[in-house]
Amino acid sequence: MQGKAENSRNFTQCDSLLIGDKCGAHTVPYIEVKNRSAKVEHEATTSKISDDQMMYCQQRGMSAEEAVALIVNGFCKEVLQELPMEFAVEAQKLVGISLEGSVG
Amino acid sequence: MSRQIIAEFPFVERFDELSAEFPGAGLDWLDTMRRTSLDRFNRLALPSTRVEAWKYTNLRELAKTPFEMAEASSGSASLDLSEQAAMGSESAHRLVFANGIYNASLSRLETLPDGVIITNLEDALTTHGSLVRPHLERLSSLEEDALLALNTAFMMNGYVVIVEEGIEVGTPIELLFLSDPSSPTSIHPRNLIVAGAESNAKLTEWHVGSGDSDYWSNPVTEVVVGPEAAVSHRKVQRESASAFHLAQTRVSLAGNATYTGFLMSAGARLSRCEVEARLEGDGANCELDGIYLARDHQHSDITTRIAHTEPGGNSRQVFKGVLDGHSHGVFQGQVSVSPDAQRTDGHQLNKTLLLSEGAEIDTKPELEICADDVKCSHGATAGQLDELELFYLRSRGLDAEEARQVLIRAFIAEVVESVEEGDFQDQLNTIIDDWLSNGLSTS
Amino acid sequence: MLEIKNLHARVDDRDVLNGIDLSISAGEVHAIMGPNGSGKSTLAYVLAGRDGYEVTEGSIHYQGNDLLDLAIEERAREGIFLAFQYPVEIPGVAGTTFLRTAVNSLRKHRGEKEFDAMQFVKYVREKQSELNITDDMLRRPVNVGFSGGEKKRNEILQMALLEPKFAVLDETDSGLDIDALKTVADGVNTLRDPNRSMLVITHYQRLLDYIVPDFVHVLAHGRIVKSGGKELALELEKEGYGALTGTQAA
Repeated sequence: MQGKAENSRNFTQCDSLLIGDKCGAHTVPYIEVKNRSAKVEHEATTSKISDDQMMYCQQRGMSAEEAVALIVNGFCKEVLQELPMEFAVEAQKLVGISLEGSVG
Repeated sequence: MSRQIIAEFPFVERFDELSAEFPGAGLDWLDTMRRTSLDRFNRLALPSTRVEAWKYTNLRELAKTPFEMAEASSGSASLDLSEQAAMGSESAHRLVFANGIYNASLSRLETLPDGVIITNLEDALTTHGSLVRPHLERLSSLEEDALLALNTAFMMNGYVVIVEEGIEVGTPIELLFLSDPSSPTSIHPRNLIVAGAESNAKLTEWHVGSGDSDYWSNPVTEVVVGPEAAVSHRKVQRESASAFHLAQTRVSLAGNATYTGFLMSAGARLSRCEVEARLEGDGANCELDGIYLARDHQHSDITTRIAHTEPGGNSRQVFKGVLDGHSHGVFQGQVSVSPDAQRTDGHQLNKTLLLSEGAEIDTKPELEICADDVKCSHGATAGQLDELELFYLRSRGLDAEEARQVLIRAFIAEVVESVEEGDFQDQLNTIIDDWLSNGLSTS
Repeated sequence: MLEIKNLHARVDDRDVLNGIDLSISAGEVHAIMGPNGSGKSTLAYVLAGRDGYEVTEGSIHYQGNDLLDLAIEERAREGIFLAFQYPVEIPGVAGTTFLRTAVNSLRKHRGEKEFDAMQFVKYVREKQSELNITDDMLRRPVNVGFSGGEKKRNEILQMALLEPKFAVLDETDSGLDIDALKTVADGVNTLRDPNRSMLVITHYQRLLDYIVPDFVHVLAHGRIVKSGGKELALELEKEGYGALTGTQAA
């Protein structure tokens, strides 16, 4: 936020979901605010899929693979639904491909 | 632009001449360590803003100042303790260092229980050399850090607190660093805290200064927390308006150890309080909280690095800042989780209030996660006081200044209240009141 | 249908169930009542197969087979349903998507053709209105931002769609006002069936005014300390748990 950025507003959220024990996530935002009327908020989380979520899905009959796929799709959906249709479709496919064989 | 700032500090040139007076002079291992560190400093030089970790804090002004070394002759404590209303308590072990020189007459050591050593570095090197040496050597050989190298080369008298296994030091320990030199002086205290297994200690460091002369305080504190031990370590930085304060605290935690760190940074023209905590045992806990207050052209940098290297560790950080005038705040908080550190819980929060048009905050949280079974988060916000809240308070009869003060206090209250002890909370509140009463910009 | 014998279970190194015997036949509705910490929810999780709920002794047989051999989802596919006390939020996953994935897992298991999106909408619509579940609730992510009543109604909708043979309702009444409680109870009552058994876990008798059980059991310190008909619930309501559990503990 530069000095002249009167009444600007920024909210950034950056969440990472970890699947499998060989992955990592690095989150390094730079937040520079030179105007007091600007309001900046940043949030980031990194976690694995919660046991509660897995349990809930599996209690409804899903296999571990199905549960992970569903939860990850949901996790990504919040972002994907903001995209124009043609990108969203492509991105959705990528999510599907990248999940193959991730549980085992 | 280079990654280095080449400074020609007079005291560095005079190393050979000064070295005879250093604590522990004549000990071969120490002489060698100092020499190696001097070479390292000369090779590394001060970091410029091209170095990522120093992106927001510029040492150019520091490099231009012709610092000499603090010596016994550079003046002793003319500071009147009683004037420092917020500082210290009656019933505490106390070590006082004035302009970098240990002051025995102001220090006060109550009867110490068996298994507790509280002393200055010089005495510790003489009487407990074998206890101190491995720690100094370990830290000094660790890494390429110019300021650490400089501190090691010129290390002066700091405090040494060693608590043996199972001992609880009930009485709080106070460490006072007072500065009011008459000419540009650099001070390089080296401190060491070693808490044995299942031991417990509480320490509070005060860094206080006055006068118009430039000085540079460059303390390094090493903290080793043994298995199941608990160390509470607080620090108040109220250096004078002409001071540079560049401090490093390096903490290592064993299994189920707890380190509770607290930082109040309110003084100095340029300060950087760096805390590194390494959680090197299963189930270690690290809690770091802090407040930074800055006005005029002050520069206040808080840099933390939490490294989770073993499973089951917890870390929590809450830092809040209030910036007025043309001050510049920096918060850099790194949390890293090694592949082995499963079940790590790491959380960090940084919030800054900008009171004036010229104030600036730069925040750089860093999460580096290489394990999958973790819960880590960080949050950062920056903004001004809420118009609606101000309006509400004023509609209830408070004037604008009072309303602002109420909201600023409320903003930091969470961090003040994280301190368990009432006494220290009172001291913090006094510092905050003091800061607020100096007047806030009205724009 | 379900045969629990001398069941002992431990959670976090703590013995929570200390020898439970319980037999439930097809079509029966049993209620388990008990004070906080008596082991009610633990029993529910053990039946569902949650990780970390370790059976140290005893057995559970379901339709003649050893239930403890089965994984969570295998139990679900064999017709065991748990209505959670605290339904879990799954951000980003629309209710319909979640339900369809679950229903299709079961259909696949039974060798039936999976529903496509259109078929599924039709299938849900039939059940949805009875439980007062709006289309909007199904579009929203599972349980995210739902009120207490919405979460519980959603659990019952899932139960209706998954058509379990044995349903465990874990404190389904908690956090509900009287209207929501009636809606949920009506939903459950329409699912009562000679081939379907239920275990209703509750702290209060109130729920049992609406879901009338065939048997009531009182759980204390991980054991069933008293069993009886539906009148036992009223007795408890009058005298409290103290008398029963106190004597047992002594």
